[in-house]
Amino acid sequence: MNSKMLGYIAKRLLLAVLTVLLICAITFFVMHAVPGGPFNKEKALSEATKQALEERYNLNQPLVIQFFLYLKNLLKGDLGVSLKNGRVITDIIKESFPISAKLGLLAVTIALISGTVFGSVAALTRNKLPDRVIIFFSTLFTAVPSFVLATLLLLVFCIKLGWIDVWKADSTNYALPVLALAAYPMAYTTRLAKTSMLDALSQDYIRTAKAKGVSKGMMIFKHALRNSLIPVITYAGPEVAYIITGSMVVERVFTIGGIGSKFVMAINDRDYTMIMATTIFLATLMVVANVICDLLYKVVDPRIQYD
Amino acid sequence: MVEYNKNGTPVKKPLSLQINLEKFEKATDEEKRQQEVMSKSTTFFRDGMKKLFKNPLAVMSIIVLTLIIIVIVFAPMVVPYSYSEILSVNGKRDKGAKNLAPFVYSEMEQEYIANGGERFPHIFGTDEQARDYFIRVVYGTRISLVVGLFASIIVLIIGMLYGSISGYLGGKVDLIMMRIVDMIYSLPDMLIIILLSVVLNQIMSFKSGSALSKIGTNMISLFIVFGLLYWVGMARLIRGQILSIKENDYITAARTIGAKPGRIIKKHILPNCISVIIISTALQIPSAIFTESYLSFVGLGVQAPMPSLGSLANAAREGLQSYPYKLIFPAITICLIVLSLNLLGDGLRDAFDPKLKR
Repeated sequence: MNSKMLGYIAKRLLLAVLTVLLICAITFFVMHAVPGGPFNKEKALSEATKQALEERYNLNQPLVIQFFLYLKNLLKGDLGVSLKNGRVITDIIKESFPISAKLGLLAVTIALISGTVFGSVAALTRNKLPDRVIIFFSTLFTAVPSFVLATLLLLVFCIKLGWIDVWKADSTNYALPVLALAAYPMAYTTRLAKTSMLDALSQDYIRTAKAKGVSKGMMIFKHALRNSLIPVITYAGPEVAYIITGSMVVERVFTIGGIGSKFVMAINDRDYTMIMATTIFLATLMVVANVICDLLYKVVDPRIQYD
Repeated sequence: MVEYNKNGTPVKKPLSLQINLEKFEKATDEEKRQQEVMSKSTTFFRDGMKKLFKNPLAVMSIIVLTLIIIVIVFAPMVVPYSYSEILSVNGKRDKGAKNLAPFVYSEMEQEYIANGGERFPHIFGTDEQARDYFIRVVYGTRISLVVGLFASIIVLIIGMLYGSISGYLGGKVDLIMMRIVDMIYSLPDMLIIILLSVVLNQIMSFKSGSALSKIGTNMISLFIVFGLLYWVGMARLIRGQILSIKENDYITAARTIGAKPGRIIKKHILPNCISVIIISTALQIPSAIFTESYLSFVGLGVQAPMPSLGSLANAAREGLQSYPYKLIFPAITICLIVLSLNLLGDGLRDAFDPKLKR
């Protein structure tokens, strides 16, 4: 840990904070471009009532001041109230996020681990049958959108074959949603891991290890695999982002009450406060994932220059 | 005087440094023929195309894409139904034609055929509003492909302008321009796209009947969103290309002999990064189609009754148990298009720029 690295970490964190601020600003101002205010209901309010309400909620202040008030509330953990059902949004998130988090974490882990394993196997059996099969399926799965896969899985395993019960709120069966979420990142990781493994296997240090008579297992696990993991780690950040967006449709298909399906519901209901709050929450999550991934990348690979 | 050997070569003088030709044999005609260049001289483009056509996966995807394009261009001319038309027989609404299986006629239609009338078969059946499903899938494919193509062109134009300016000027301009790109790049694109689509749908309205209203606000907001966000990847790529090409010796050489910047860009830089640009545009199309179908699925895509592959798949979720084919057809079409575009893009990359790896 030298000063250069500390400098890099500080810079990266600063960029992350700026990004989150930018996201808050975009969300806030874009949402305020929508015509109509919260008190424009069918039943017209009297001018005095409207004024009182606007004063109560600081809506008579200039937009910039409103933005800073909003930011202040965000820092306090107050995301506002859903326009649709009047519930506190923090409560909705607290209730639905753990479900999504469990689903997402399972999918990320499965995608990363199995992707690396498949990719390495494909690289080690290059141009032989296992390689061909793995590459065939990974190419296929990068062409299937997650919602199509989710619906097909639901159709085949739940409806036609009846092997797995359709997801219910209290069910612990995560197999199908996780598979639908993990398929694309898994396929992508497989391709990535294969190229980086092939790259690692052609390096001089592998030849040296071979010449010294290092056993094959040792060579693969100690020398090749560790080096081939570096590009896979860089993909973990985008993967989290993919899984968060993917979970919106997958949760909808399997009717899971996670934060993704709440978000889609809010979009369809035009529930603006809810859309705003969920966007900021999920976006912050993605930014944090990216920061962790970037920092991890530098820790794992000391050759990387700090710029 | 020069003396000659029997085979016609000059005799070597003892002290001469000349090679002793006596030790050589003349090439026979057959050997001479081996030196002949049999193939025509080839250009970079032709060589790349040759490599591309040797790649079976790329050829297959070209065939699949061509077939799909032929179908979506000519099917509306052959099939007598339109995508928003509710089926009717002799001007009477055919109420029994809802949710027909592929190649099945409704009772009214069967009666009509029995009376000697001709009826075009419903190749993919009909949907829940008694519309011909095949033509809806055809139009959905059209829209998805058009969206993918236009979005990629928008991305290409903005990205190329921005990237080449930033890369060629370098220095402080480059630094500032790239910081802006970094900021946009670190935004979660999908979330911002959803957000912008929600809002743009609300605030945009066009006079009915104008060309813009026909396309629909959703589709226009989709293009705006692509133009705003997705160009950063392309800009980065092109900037990187130009930066590395700029350092090449032939650019320095061109500059030394007094070539102007316009000529250097046109003659030396662009031809060297054109393959990268084409390949990444080709790979951009499937991702645009993905995004469009995703947005349609979430309910932010094209406007009803206009179909897109994503919205068709979304609509098929209701009644999935009874009519699974309504999901299968658009789903397979999306997968086929994306798969063949991906494979074609990979093939183009291998053929034209083997150095470029994702």
